[in-house]
Amino acid sequence: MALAAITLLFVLSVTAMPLLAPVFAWAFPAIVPPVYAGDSFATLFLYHAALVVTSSIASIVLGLGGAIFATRRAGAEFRPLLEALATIGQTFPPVAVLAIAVPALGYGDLPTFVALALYGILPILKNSMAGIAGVSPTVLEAADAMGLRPMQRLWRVELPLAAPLILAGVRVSVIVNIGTATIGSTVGAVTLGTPIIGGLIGDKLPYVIQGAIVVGLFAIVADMGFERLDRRLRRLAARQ
Amino acid sequence: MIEFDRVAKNYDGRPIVADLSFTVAQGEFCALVGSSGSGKSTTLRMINRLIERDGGTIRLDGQDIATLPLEQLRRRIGYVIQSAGLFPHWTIRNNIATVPRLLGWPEDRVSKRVDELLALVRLDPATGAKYPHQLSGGQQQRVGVARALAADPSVLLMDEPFGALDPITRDALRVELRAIHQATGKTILMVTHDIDEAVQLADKIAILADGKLVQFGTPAEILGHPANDFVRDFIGGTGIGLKLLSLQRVGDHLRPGLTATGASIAASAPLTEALSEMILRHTDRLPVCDDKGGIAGAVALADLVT
Ligand SMILES: Nc1ncnc2c1ncn2[C@@H]1O[C@H](COP(=O)(O)OP(=O)(O)OP(=O)(O)O)[C@@H](O)[C@H]1O
Ligand SMILES: [Mg+2]
Repeated sequence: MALAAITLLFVLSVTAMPLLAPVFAWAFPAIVPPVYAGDSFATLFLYHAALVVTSSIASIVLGLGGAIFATRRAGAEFRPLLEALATIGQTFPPVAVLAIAVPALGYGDLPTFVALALYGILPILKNSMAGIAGVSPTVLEAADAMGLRPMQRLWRVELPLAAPLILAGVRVSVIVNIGTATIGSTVGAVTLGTPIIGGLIGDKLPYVIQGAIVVGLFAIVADMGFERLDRRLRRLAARQ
Repeated sequence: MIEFDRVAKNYDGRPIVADLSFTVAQGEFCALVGSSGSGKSTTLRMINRLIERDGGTIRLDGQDIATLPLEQLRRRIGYVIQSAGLFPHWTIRNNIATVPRLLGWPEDRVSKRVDELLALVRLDPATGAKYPHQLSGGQQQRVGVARALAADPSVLLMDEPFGALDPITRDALRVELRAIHQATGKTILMVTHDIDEAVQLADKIAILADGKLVQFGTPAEILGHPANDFVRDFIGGTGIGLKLLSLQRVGDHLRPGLTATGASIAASAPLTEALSEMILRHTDRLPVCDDKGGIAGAVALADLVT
């Protein structure tokens, strides 16, 4: 119910922002036009979402892949290193990651994508390692003793049982990336941050507000979607 | 049949199991006993190669286990552990069906087999749709046994299967395990701390101390002729006499002509039960009934000690 209401609000914010023009014109008479008039919010949202989705997929592949590697016998010695890396990495602000990516990769979508993907790995890596390592040793012993091959054990036992924690990591990663992607506009990526950054530079507060409303609702809708997915998984996990 | 031939295992240069040789014959129930840390679990887990041995040979039905592909070997061996180790995210039916599905059985055969096994371990068919956390410890362990037996393995390995259960549940499951052993004729090797459990269930008992086999024989042989002081202490010192008595049935000492008064005792009851009754009733003889309930004679106190 709440999800449906917020989703509706979000869709309206993306498609019908110009309808609020009288409101912004009344509140900020000096700003013309009252609603951001560059790319439409729908276009900005699509660029923004594409950046978040692609970078999150990269984060999931790398983060989950790293966690699977670190929890195999062959990768066990790398686990403490990866754990430390994930913990320390998260203390860097995402802006710093972006600042490092630009000199290496130039301006535009690419450094933003790389920064988002790299920063997004950390919570997924950390949570997935915790989730997979937390599967009960007796359950693993039973799986081995029953003759499950290592890959069968991973897919049928370890990943399903670690799924709630893995999902929690993906959730943090995606939500942080939705916010961080706005900063990509400082280095030339087109995102929902474009009106925000433009508004800040040009001293046009309504554009900042408009961009922030859409990004904020986007993050809330995504988070509520994860919440729902998580509840479904927890119902299964209660069975542990 | 399980054969150990001079099997050895070391950890960090320390021998944990040394020069271990014994054979569990086809259809035999063997209990592996010994104090904590004596190497019982290690011994058991070398059979399905959860632990790789450092020396010697283990043969399963005459085949060297080292020559079999690992997964194939394990799917031929039922394995039951103390806390059942059921897959928490699968229903009971799916848990039991694990190995048959790995072996690629058609679904209708899997389903029929699961029905059979639920009946064998005396679980209600409706239990099949539940998840492990909805079951009591005793029920989970029944599922553990059913899952181990699912693909009709030739041997069943059990590591303290009843160790985590309360005494009443444990007793009930022991009785059923014996029934299952009789019904299926499986070769069973069971690790236990509990010498009474071993005496009650097993055809043969292997006693381990510091990774070495100190005695191997039938319960009567071990109780009657403990190999050394360690074994004597381990099997219960002054209580050995009563354990020996528990191995015999009232029927073994029946005197058909003798009469006695009071409630009768079944010929199939262990002699310890007869002794206990005599003490309670301040009498030196009890009437004995056969399995149809007719009086077959009596048992006398003097006969218990001969
Ligand atoms: N991975 C290992 N590394 C080093 N030592 C080990 C390892 N596994 C077992 N041991 C040692 O081997 C010995 C035998 O262990 P095992 O588990 O076989 O004993 P057990 O007879 O089953 O004991 P319990 O009755 O307590 O279960 C113990 O002293 C234990 O500390
Ligand atoms: Mg043990």
